[in-house]
Amino acid sequence: MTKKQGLRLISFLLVLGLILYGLVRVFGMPTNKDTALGVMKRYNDFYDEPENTWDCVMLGTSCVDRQWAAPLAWNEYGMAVYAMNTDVQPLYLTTCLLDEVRKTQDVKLAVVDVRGIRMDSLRPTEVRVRRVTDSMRYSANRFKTIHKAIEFYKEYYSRDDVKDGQKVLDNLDETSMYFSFLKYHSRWKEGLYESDFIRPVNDMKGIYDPADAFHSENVKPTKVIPDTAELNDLQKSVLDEIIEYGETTGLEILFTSAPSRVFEKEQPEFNGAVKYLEEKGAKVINFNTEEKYKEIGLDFSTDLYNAHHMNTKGAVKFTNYFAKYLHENYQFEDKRGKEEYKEWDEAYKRYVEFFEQGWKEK
Amino acid sequence: MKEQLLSILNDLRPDVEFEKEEKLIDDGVLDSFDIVSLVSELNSEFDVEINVMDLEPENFNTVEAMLELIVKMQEEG
Amino acid sequence: MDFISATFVVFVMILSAVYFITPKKAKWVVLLLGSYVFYVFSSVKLLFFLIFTTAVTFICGLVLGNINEKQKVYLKEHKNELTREQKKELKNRTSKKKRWIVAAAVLINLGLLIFLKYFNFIGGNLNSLLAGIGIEGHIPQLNLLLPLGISFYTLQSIAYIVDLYRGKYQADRNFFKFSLFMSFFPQIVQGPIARYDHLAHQLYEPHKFDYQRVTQGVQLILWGFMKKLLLADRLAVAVNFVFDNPDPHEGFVLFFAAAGYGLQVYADFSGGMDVARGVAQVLGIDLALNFERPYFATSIEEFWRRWHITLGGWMRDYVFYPLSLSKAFANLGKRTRKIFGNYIGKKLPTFLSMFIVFLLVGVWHGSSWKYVAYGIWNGTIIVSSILLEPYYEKFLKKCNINTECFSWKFFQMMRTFVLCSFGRFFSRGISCMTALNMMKRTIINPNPWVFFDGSFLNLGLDYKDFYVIFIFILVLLVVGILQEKGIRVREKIAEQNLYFRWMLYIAAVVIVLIYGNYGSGYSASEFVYQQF
Repeated sequence: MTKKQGLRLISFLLVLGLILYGLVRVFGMPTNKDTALGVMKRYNDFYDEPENTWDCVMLGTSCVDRQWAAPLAWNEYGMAVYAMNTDVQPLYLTTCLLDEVRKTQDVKLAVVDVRGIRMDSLRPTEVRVRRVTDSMRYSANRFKTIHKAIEFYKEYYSRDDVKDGQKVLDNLDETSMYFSFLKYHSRWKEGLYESDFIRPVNDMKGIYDPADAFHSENVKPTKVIPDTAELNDLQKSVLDEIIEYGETTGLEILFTSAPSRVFEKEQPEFNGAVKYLEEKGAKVINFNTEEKYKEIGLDFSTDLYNAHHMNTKGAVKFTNYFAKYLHENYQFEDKRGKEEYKEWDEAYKRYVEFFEQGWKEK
Repeated sequence: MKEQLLSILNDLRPDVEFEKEEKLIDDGVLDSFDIVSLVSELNSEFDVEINVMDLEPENFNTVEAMLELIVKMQEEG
Repeated sequence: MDFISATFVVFVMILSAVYFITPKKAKWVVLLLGSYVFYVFSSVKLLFFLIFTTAVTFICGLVLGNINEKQKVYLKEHKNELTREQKKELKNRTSKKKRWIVAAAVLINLGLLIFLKYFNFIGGNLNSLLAGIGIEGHIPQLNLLLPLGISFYTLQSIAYIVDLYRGKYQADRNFFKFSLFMSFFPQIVQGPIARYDHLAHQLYEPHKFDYQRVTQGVQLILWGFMKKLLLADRLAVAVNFVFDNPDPHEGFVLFFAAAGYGLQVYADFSGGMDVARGVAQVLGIDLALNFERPYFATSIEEFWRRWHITLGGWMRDYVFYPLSLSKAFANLGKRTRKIFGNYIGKKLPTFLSMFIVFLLVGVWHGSSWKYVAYGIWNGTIIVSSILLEPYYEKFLKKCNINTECFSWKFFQMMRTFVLCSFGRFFSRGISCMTALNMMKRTIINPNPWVFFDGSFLNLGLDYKDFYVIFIFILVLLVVGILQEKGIRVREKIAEQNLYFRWMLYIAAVVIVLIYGNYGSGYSASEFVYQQF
């Protein structure tokens, strides 16, 4: 091989590599469907955030970003609290996500919602896992997260109490979990969208912005019952791992059970989780009590867009309440007016307009 | 001898102009059926024993090569 | 390790890099180690069989080689003393000796293949045969695993032994080099079935990095990937759909499945060959051609000359010729000529050996009656076409049909395509009976309305898949026509501008990656919001 040929070969490989990189980026998780676009925007924004600017991160299932309006809390107290939840976020991936966040953000507190503790929510499906892992950037931690999800997948479906009742899913195509292009290349059939080519980013610090955020549904209020179900070993181990993570890293963890209509068949498991966490000495707030509903001022007839999710009205109420709680209990520094937090001010302005416009159009 | 060979060949495949072909085997002009019939004809006509190990393309690609083979076989007996 | 996989691509890249930086003398060692690594990756448990066959073949080869040498030396020394008769006598005597060795080697190697591949088939059939006459058969069904590539390397070893018997070349005296010949990774899984005198020296010689050759090899590999991923694996979806449950389908859908299976196998097998030959070419080694555009054949006989050429060549040299030219067959010919007259009588023994070849080829594909039927199907068509040829020609002359034009050739190609496709019912059908039943239903109820009522879109492929299939077949056709005209496509590409070439390569990679049928696949419905 002559020198010229060698150079040619190298530059060809470079061009090819560049094109392949672009290809892998374009053929990613489809963002036209479902809530994936919101998740993608929120995660992309997270990767764009300046380092070490967050005070606190929130993890959990879909209720979290529906009820948390970060710009409001910022405007009120100057705290930077970001929601990194995904829909039906696998609770067993919480520690991996905390690792991901702590790579760039030295958060002092993690709020972990335990609504995902029900066996039904823990049930791993490809999509539930992919919302998290396909949103993550390629890194060792992403591989670790996927590996963990696959292990959990196998463990979950080999359980006796699962096998009897539920349909066991087909085996995962594991390689395509790691290299998502293997799956998504076939999207050429469904069509591609603008959001596949131009990276979508959330510019309101993780606000949930689809149209249903401005929809009110008259939801029957929760009938609070005291019944408690004993968690099984799998559920306990999931919670234990998070508690242990807090202990070994020194990260403070606050568990919550997000407020919404909770069906009677769901409550025992939530109550069991709260009880178990309290026994373990972890800090936990159950928002699904008559008392908390009253304190927040939650009106089931106007503040939710469906049984499980708050609309923006509900979000404002909850944020006002919870931001005050965080302010009083965790003394985050008030960073309003600081140069590197200008984006947060802009996010607030946008949010106010978004909120008013949204309800006006309704 | 050449005339004799050509008449055998023309009987076998009247459609081929044997003297013009240079790659009877390599180009697939003669197939394995033709070869088998040809060899048994040659064996009886020229009183030789061409056998399997002589069935190399280079021995049958041209009329000249076939003649050479026959001569060689006759010498060896 | 699958050829069409990222692992294999990485493996080849590493192996070639190591090969080219290794000093000349040790280059063949890299190939040997690489081949064994490849084999171990695929089936470590069955490695023993490969080594065993290699050893048996090597030792028998040595013995044969020694006998050949001795005879040669003896003949040379006594050149002038011996009469022609004595020479002949000597040759006969050594031949007899050699025959024992050949018999031993073939019996061991072939016996192993037959045992592993056909024991259960033969045993099962014997059992039911015995049951038929009221005896309970007790031949057990064994749990036998077939070592990777055994059907190929066994044939390769037999060719080597027989060639030595015929004194075609000298025996290999280096066991490790010979092991490389028997295990060379690009061709161990599915051929091409190599001949020692063509391949071995290429493997042992060192090859330098040759830019031109490497790019051509890579092109061939990419081409193979396209055939496999764009066409074969996509067609397979619909083909499997129909053959797994043929009852609800009829007419042209069944025919489509059979013809589609033929194309699938072609794209799959010849694509694999392209990858094998491409990889070897990168390393500086030329493997034998195994496919020569079979779908351009104008007769079944020609089809099989263009399809799996190395298997056909093997059968020709080691079964067909020896049988046809054997004394027994010559005697048979004399007798049949008396009975059937000159034209047919002369051909009958040849037909018999050809029939045997087709049966063997059929059974070689797998141990099932349907493969026997497949062999009979092809053999019968070829024999009858030769037997009927004189009548056919008369008929054509009477009808004033010009056979020297494109349209006639095209007709012949289509005819061959249809006949071949019908044969595929046997090779893909679940059993012989299913195949016959499907054939019957194709003919009795052709149901042309399936072309209009969207039946083809219910076979697991949507219209976009059919576009890809259609376009790629068109590409295959154009490339095929160019090659038939003697144009070397890869050389033509090499003549183009650098930018055009780059664009072509990149386009090929991108097309394979996007439109290839691989991975678990994405369906939009999956992502519809799945409950809290």
